[in-house]
Amino acid sequence: MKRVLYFGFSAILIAYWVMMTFLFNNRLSFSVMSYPQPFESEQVIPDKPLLKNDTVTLEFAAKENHLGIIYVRFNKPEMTAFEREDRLAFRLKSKESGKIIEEGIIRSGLIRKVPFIPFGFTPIDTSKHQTYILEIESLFGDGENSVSFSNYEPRLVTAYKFSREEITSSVPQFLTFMFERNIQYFSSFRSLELLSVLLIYLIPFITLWIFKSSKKSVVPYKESVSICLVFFTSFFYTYFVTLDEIPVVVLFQTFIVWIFLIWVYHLGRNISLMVSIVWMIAAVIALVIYPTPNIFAQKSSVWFYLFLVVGVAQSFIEEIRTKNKKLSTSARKGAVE
Amino acid sequence: MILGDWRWFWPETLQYFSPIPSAWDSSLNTGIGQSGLATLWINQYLNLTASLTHLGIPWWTVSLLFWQLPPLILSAIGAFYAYGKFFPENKKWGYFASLVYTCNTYFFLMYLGGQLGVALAYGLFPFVIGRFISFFHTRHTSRDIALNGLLLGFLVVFDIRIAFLAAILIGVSWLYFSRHYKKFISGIMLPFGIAGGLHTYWILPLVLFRQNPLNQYGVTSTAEATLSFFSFADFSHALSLLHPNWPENIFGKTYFLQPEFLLIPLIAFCSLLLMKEQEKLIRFLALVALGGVFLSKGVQDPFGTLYEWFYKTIPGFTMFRDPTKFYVVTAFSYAMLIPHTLAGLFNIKNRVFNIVGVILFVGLWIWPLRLHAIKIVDSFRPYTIPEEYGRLTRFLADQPQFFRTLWIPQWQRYGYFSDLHPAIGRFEVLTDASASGQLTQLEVPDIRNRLTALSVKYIIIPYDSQGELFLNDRKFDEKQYVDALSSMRKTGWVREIGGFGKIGVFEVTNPRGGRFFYEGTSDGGNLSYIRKSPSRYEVITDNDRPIPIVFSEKYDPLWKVYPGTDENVSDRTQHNLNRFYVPENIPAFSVEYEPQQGVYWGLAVSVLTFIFITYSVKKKRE
Repeated sequence: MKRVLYFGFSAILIAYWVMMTFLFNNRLSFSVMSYPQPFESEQVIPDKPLLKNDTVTLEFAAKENHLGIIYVRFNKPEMTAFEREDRLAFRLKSKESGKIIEEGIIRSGLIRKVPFIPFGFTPIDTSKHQTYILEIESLFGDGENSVSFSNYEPRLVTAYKFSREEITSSVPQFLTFMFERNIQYFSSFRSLELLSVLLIYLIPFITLWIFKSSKKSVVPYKESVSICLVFFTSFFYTYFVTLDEIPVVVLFQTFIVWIFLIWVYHLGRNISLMVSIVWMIAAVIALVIYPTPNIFAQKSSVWFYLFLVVGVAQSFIEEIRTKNKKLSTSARKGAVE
Repeated sequence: MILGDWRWFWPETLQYFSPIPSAWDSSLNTGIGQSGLATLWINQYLNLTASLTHLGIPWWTVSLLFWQLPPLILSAIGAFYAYGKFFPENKKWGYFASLVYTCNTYFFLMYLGGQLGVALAYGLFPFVIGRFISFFHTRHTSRDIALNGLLLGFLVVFDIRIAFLAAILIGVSWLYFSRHYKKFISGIMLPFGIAGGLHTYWILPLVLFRQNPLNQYGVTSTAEATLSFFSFADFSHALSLLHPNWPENIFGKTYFLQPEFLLIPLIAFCSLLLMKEQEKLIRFLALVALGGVFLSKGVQDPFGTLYEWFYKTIPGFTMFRDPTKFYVVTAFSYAMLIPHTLAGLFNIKNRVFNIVGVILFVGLWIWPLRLHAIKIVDSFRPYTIPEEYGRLTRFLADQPQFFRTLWIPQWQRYGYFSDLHPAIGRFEVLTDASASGQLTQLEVPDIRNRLTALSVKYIIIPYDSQGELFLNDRKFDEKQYVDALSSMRKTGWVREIGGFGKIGVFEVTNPRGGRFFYEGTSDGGNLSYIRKSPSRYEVITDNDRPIPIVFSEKYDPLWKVYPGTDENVSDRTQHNLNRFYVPENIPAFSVEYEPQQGVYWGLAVSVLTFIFITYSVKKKRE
């Protein structure tokens, strides 16, 4: 029975890994394929904040048909009152004809919330291999409300929205689409980043496998290995994967895995507290090395808080257990007397 | 002394402050009048302290003794007191509790921003929590109950939001430490009842007349957009007890995190590893700190939607449109936890190590705050008020008849106002934020008619001595000031009165004057009145014509004529003032703000409660 349960759980966790790593990996719709667009060598991307009338021109060649979203990565601007926000004009032009295909205005307040901002428009069905120009002009930049381009890659990503009929017309078609989609997604990562992205959703399975491995197995010190695995995977994911915030799924998954480790290995509250302290020290070091933007410190703080909450909860549970133990001991003593 | 939003009052203004609470605010927070019930709890403290000037004590002395010094003293002593209550065996470490609680970015910016009511509540908070929580562990007397009620009552006086937080904390601590019904009655119900009794003078009229005091916090605003804007602190700021506007304290401008502040939560939560005695209390304080941190970030990630849900669902939570109020909870918990960590770290036998460690800690704590600490000390330096404001005050105050002044773009902190000469200058009539926009609005005939109905006699372009009014990109812009003066000088229906230095004073030609006038007349008619209080006037008319009488205060349906019938309630005029249809053949009548009666009844209960508290406190000593 236990074996059946174990294999069942393992299958579920593997399926979870496949889904999160290969199907729902880029947080876009299922039918959207995205490509990072490296900037052409002759393109000059200013690193200073954009002031009023400053215009940046980005040229790129579309990789597929159905171009429908362009993501541009900015640094998180300072918060300003709504009426004082900068407004950025986005204009998509065809290089060949020079005509404006699409334009829109995005406020700096929205970029503050979503620094990797999407500029969406009606999909261009015949975009493949066409060269486009994206112009970004600051309309009210005054230094205080200005935005600047991020240095973190990818800074420009184009996304192509395929129709469901096109993708699901046959199984080979679907598999081909998913294969190409994932190749594009994973090819944008550097090695450590790729490893983190591939491993992070596998942690639940690995910790379960370590736990179930027999006592005479090749995995000594199962407890320590599991703790280090959880910590270092989340550490690499936090520091090497370019995300402005940790996905809620990753937070929740780590929380569940940690609770599992506490339960099976009877980890004391001090372990959780020590891990949280390590995260806080990591946040301080990150802030010293990368003062702005402070997304690393922000993400580390979230981990610190998570493990701290677990540690505090554990101390409450330990208190209740100690109290119950004392009560049952004194009850037994009373019965004996 | 200058402190952010903290106000200066001329003696000519202070003479109208009364120790008797008034349900109507005719000039303190507005130039056109409004119900004063929603903020009577703090305004009454202001009125009481300001009334001391009638004994010859200057306002700057009253301000210093009752507003500016107490937050600093209370927060230092309060934290020490609370720490001593929680950890009596380690009392000497309470000095660090005072240091942490008093010297942090949140308190400094609050104090320097002039939010002295909140600062007073912040200072009193540890006293209240310390007393209430230790109450659940120890034996108590009726004196303790009375004192707890009195302290809680004072906390409500200074800031109702912080009192709300204290109430939640007290409730949670009872659940955690006691859960005994007798302690609930003596530790919560009775003191809360006493505090409620002390505040009956404003609670009773609110209840009787169904007014919601939370409306002042923008309950009707679009929740999501408002919360998102006011959620300045991100998670790391909240965790580090670092005010998001540190160090410049410019509203809406946030700054990046500084690494040294991340050591604060590290030191605080290390106390969990060093728990030996008082484990239960440490756990509780850690939990409180975690809650304070989570709520201080508002709707910012992670899990920001939870705050929005709280805002929409939990009664009273609408008071926390600005989530930084939860910093009080975080500051308090850190102030209790950090000394406990230090007590654990520096408790070894090597005296030199202990002393050096302590000095290092104090130095590292104070160093990032040094400039603001100097600013706080500097705020006690007397500042010379521009002499032209004194001249203007005397000029206006010497005129015995009622009129209003209109300040463009806003009322200046040294501007004169009183119940006899209210100052309009908080966007009550001209709603544009800029001087140029307001001057454009002045050209609209309906606005001019409204100013006439409001008996505006002078329009004032203030001298912006503090660089707060004519701003461009948060900096003083002389051009805006000069343009405003120039534009007023071209206005045909005013004439400039010289002799006030850089203040532009313009007299309206043919002002109406008077608080009461017959509707539709240019001169107001043959009406006289006596002001008994801001919420009661006695009017004498010739009353030989059936024309309604306009009362030149902001419309409120609770203004009534006495004697009269149910029909003699206020009607709204086109300029949002009060209109009364007075019965014929009644040459004299009074116009009263109805909730004032509730205030008087409530005041009787409050006084009785206070007598009861005094008796309970004295009884033990006898």
